[in-house]
Amino acid sequence: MFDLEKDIRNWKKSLSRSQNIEDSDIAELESHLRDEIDQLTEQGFDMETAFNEATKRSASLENLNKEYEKLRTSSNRNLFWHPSKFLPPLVWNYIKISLRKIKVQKGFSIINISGLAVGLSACILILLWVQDELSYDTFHKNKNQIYRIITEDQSGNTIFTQAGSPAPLGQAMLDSIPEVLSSVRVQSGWSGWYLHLKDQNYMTEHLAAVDPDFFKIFNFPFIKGDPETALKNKYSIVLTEKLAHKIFGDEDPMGKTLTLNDDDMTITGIIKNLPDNSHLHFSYAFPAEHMRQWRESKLDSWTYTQFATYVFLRRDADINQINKKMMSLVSQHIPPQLKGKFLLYLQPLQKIHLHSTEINTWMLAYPNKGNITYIYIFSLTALCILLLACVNFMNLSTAQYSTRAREVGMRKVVGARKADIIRQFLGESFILTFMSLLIAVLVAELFLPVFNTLTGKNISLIHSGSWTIFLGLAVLGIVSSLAAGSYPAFFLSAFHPAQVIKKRGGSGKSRGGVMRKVFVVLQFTFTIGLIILTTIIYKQLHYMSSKPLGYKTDNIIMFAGYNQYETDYFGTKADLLQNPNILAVCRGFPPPAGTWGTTNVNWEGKDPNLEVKVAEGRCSPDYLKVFGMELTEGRFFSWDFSGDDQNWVLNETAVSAMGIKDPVGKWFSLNGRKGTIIGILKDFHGESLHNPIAPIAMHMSEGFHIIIKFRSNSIKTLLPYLEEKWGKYVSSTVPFRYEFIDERIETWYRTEKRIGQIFQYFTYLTLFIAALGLFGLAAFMAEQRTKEIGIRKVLGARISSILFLMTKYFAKWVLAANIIAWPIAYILARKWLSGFAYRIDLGWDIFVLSAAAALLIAVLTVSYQSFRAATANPVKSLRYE
Amino acid sequence: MVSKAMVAVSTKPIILSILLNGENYGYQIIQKVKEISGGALEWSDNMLYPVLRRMEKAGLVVSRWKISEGGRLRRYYQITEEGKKELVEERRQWMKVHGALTNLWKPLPSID
Repeated sequence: MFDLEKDIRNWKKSLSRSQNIEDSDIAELESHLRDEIDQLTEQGFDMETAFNEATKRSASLENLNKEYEKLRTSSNRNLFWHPSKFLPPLVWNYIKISLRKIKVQKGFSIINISGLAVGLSACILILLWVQDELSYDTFHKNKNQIYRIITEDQSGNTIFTQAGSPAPLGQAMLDSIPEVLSSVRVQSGWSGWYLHLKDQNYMTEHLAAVDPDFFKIFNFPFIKGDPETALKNKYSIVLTEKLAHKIFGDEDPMGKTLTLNDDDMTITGIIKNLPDNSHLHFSYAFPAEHMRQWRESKLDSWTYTQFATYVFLRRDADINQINKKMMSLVSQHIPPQLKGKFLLYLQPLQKIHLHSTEINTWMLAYPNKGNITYIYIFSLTALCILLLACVNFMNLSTAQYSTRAREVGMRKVVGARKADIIRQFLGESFILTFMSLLIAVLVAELFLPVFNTLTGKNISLIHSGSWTIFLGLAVLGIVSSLAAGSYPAFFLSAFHPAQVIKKRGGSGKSRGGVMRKVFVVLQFTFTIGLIILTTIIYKQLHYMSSKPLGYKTDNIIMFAGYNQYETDYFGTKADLLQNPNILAVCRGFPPPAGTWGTTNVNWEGKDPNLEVKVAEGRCSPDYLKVFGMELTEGRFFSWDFSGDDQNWVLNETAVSAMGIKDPVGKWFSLNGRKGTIIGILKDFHGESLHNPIAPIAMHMSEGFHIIIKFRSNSIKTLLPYLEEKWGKYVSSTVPFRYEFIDERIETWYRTEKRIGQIFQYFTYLTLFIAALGLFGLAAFMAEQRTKEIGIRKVLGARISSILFLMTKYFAKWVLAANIIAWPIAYILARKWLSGFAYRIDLGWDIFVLSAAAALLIAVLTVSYQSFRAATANPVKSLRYE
Repeated sequence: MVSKAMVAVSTKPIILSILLNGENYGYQIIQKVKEISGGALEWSDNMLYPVLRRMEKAGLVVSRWKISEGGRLRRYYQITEEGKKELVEERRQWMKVHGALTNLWKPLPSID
């Protein structure tokens, strides 16, 4: 059965394959064909013959193609590298058509691409950061079988969680639990040990004191030496290649000797430099046994928890079982008063980096402890930014409907099915997205140095050459183009030819207007939320850095009081005070002057059921001269009172926690050291404002650091002077290391400062994207309303009233965004602030100002287009018809 | 039949002249040309439509789509002011050539 329509469809299809014939041309040729067929049938031919005859008379495909080709100026088709030679013609066709459409819509395309590129580059950077954080410690082969023992100490009035565990526990577990294949004790990451070779010392290098099985459990690849045996000998030491090169240059270090603290150690191995994503951080490793004599580490005591213990378990090990067995082992060996107060559990290696924020890890010092919460927050942010950029894309694409509608109608007339049109639009968004992706990668690469500084990492993008990254980028591109392109594709392909060709231009309600409004509100909600949060972060930071701590922090320097500073404190102190720039000298620990607390405290009139944890502080009488804390009662220590070295000074919090009335004169003892309370200090912030002030009891002792208050602006001459004194009193070979108290305090909020900066960037980003979207929308709306505005002008409306009209339209939605953003931001801010014992109030001013800022930006963005529309010549806009 | 070169050079003035009388579409133009040339000029669609595209690009004509009563979609062309000016120029040139040939061919010697 001859089917005319079907044959015509096939005929059109074959035409559409040609690269040079456009859809409108096909429509015209079809029209011609049908006229021809009509004429032939009138002359008496039947349909089939008429069709065949007509198509015969009509040109062959090649001719048509050639003729139409002459129209196009395609002089560069003969270049050998031209893509049309490599790609299948259909793909190249799509690309060409898409590029042409993009060129025609230059303004919109540029806005679209910029918004998407910016969003994608932020996404890329964030995802790279997340990937890096998740990669910590993944380079160990046994990573799924390694666990760290965590100890929860419930003996005080707060729970103290730490990564240290009883020193003999590892061996005990090895002996009695079959699933435990190996165990090591580790201390790592800190420096200051006296490592030297002849007269060169390496005190700044980071150590690792470990049991011999360390390199069997952890995978630090050996360049020289055998991981199985490297630390077997007590006097062996393993170096990283960087340290080996530093000490020995190009010589082979194996078998050579280094002196560590007076002991000669033989180098038995060189390992590759540690990767950045390792929570263990060291440049040399030696057997932990040495700590017995060097630090009097009680490696056989069940109450000595200054080492971290890692265990290597069998694959099928049941963690719960092992936890239970571990607990029972501990209960058997610890002193009875501590039974039940210690809770131990295993922490998997992979969780260490991100899930240890509440765990004290001082014995494994490493700078960049991560936090799983931030991973969630930033991943979510990356998603939101991507969504924002996609929403922008959708908004701008659907806004172009008036210009694309005719084209869609045309294609449908020619016979394109909805699926074809959808495919075309998806293809266009695909190309736009990939162009944006390319730009985004370049932008991200450009920003990497700044980003790395901001995050303290060493991430690389293009240079990484990693297949996973490139694959990830491709996936990102595909997902974004689908996310951004689907809605517009379906929206635009829904046009019916009739409604498109009959209508001419048009004003009034725009199609898809509701979705567009939703999108604008969404974008601005996010932006306003970010503005609010960033403001709050900065306000809190400002509050914390400007809140008086209760003591002076400027112009104070401290350094370790070794050697003669220790043995002859008075003499060295007197010598220092000769310098007119030195105002006061004291000894002790910087605020809070205490180590973690103990509940082993007693005082006159103590309620036996009351348990209080008090931190122990050490200082010398001139402490107050240096730091300027205030006394509320009694007096401070003094050299004039010989019994003062037994006495105690407490702070206000200690007094109220202990519930003593009139404390001065009563007796007090901590860890068995009994004395009289001679004074009460006004509370001061020894720790960051994250934490509430803790009870402190201070006593005199040969404290560790020499702390000096100096005259302002004298530091330039003072440093060399102090260095000279160090050389005289401590050592001429060990370098002089010092710290300023105010710098120390700065580091308390280092994380928050970083977060603040990151939020700042995010805010600018989202503001940019949202403003961009608004800009495009305003352009679209101005175009839509040209006729309306023209009429208004003719009727005498002033420019200002038209401006007002347009901005009012958008301002409504920005204000609506506020209503959604405020409660969400409030809740999030409250949550974040709850991590600080001392915080700002969330006042109305923050919210109102943020809203105003967003509104201002929106108005400015829209005003440009509004102004153009308002000043356009009404004659021109009305001339259309 | 007319040579390709002559067809090519005469297309523009013929189209413009036809459109001078009013709006027209491709198929109709082809019929008209066939009619007034007495069958000597039989334009094919693969010749005409690209030319129309070119002329529209040059601004000599404008096109718009119209749906007929029977639902047939057709592309109608109109001459523009530019096109009219172009036609005047074409006519001037053709008349020059025509004049020269007329002078050469009078009186018509018997060739055939």
